[in-house]
Amino acid sequence: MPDIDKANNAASDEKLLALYAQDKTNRYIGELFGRYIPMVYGVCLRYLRNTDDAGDAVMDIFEELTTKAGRYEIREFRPWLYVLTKNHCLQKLRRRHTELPEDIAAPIVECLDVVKMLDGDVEADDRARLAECMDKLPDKQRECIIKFFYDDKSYADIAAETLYPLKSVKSLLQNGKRNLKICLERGNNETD
Amino acid sequence: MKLTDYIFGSRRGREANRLERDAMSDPFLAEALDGFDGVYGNHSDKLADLRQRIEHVSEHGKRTLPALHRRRIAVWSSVAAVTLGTVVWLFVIPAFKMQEQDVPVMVAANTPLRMQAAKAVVAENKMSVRTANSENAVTVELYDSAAVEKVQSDEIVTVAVPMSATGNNRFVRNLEFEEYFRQNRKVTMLADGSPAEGVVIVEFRVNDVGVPSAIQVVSGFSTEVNADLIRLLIEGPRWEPTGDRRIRIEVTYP
Repeated sequence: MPDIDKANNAASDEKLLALYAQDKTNRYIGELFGRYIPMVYGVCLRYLRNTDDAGDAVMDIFEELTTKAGRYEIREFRPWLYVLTKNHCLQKLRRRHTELPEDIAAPIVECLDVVKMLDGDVEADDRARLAECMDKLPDKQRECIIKFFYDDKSYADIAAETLYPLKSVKSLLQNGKRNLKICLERGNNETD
Repeated sequence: MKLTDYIFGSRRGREANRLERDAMSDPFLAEALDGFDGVYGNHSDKLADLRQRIEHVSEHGKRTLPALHRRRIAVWSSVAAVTLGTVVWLFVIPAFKMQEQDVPVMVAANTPLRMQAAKAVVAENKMSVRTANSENAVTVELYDSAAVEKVQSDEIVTVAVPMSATGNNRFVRNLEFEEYFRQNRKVTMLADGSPAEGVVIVEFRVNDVGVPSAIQVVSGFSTEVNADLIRLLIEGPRWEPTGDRRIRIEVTYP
C-alpha cells in the first residue's frame, strides 16, 4: 500500500485490526488482507476449481472482512480469516448445489502427533517406540520419511533423488505417517 | 519462505521443506498449497490483479464491478477489440509497415562476452550500430559494424535488429525496476555458501495491468536466485504492457 506508513507494514495483524476498529480506515484492512491474498486465493482455488471464481471470491471475502472486522472482536486474525474463507467457498458451492469432491472433504491436516514426534518433540520412551515403528514401515515409506523429516529434503528434492514421481512422494509420506500413527497407537494400547 | 516464493520458485532446499512441514500442521497453508497445485492457470497474473484491486478498494473505498458486470464488459470489450483490430489490420498497418521492421535491442556491453554477442548480431544482420548513454537511451550517432569495437565498457549498445532476427523477443531496460531490484534482492549467498554472483536472463510478457507474466528463466546460475528474481518481477514496479510479445531482461547479481 503506497500511502501507508512504513511502520504499519511491520505492524502485527492484530495491531492493524485495532487501528481499523478505531477509525474504520480501509487502508489498514487493505494492508492486513494484502498479506493473506495468496493464501485466501489458494484456498478458494481448492474449493472452486477455477481461477476466475477464486478471484471473485477473494474480492467478496475482502468485502465481508471489512464489514465483519468492525463488528466482531477478532483475537487471532489468521485462523479467523481461514474459517471465513472456507465458509465462504462452501456456501458458494452449496448455492450451486455442487457436491464436495471426496478429496476436498477429507481432512487435509492429520497425524499431527506423529508430525510433532518426527519434528523432534518426543520423550525418550516414545523415541524408542517411534524407532521400532519406523523399522516396521515399508522401505519406500521409511525412505521418504527419513529424507523429509531428518534430512530436511523437500518433496521436489526427494523426487529428484529417488526418481519417484512427485505425487508418489507425497502419498508415500502421507501413508508413512498414517502407518506410524497406527503402530504407535497399537503400542500405547498394549501398554495400557 | 513466503508462499508465493514457493509456488513460483523451484521448491527445492531446506526452506521449501520448512514450508511443506508447516503445511502439515497448518490447514490454511495446506489448503492454499493444494489449491495452487490442483488448478492450472496463470496464478501470478491473477494475484497481481487481485493485489491491485484490493489496493484500489482500500484507497478509494469503492468496490470494483461485480463479476457478472465484469464479464459482460469483457465480452463487449472483446467484440470492440476484434472490430478495431480488423480496421487497424486493413487500413492502418500497411501504412506503418516499414517502421515496424526495426526493433531496438538493448545489449549491455560492459563485459567482453556481451560485447562479442552484440558484434555477432551486427555482423550477421549487416546492421548499423548506435551508441547511447546508459541512463538515457537516446540514439546519438550512427556507426558501421566495426565501430562496436570503439564502444566504451560502461555504455549500452543499441542495435537495430529486424523483428525476425530476434524471434519477436527483445532485451529491454526498466530503470525503475533496476532500482527496485538493487534495494529488494534477498539472495546474497547460495545454499552451498558461495556468494550469489552471475547474470540471469529472464523472458516474459507484460500483462494489461503492467505485471510480468509467463516468466521464463532463459539462463541463470542458481534456483534460489531465479526464485528471488521472479518474486521481484511480480512484486516490483509496473511495466509497459507488451500484449502477447515477450521481452527479455538481463540482471546481474549481486
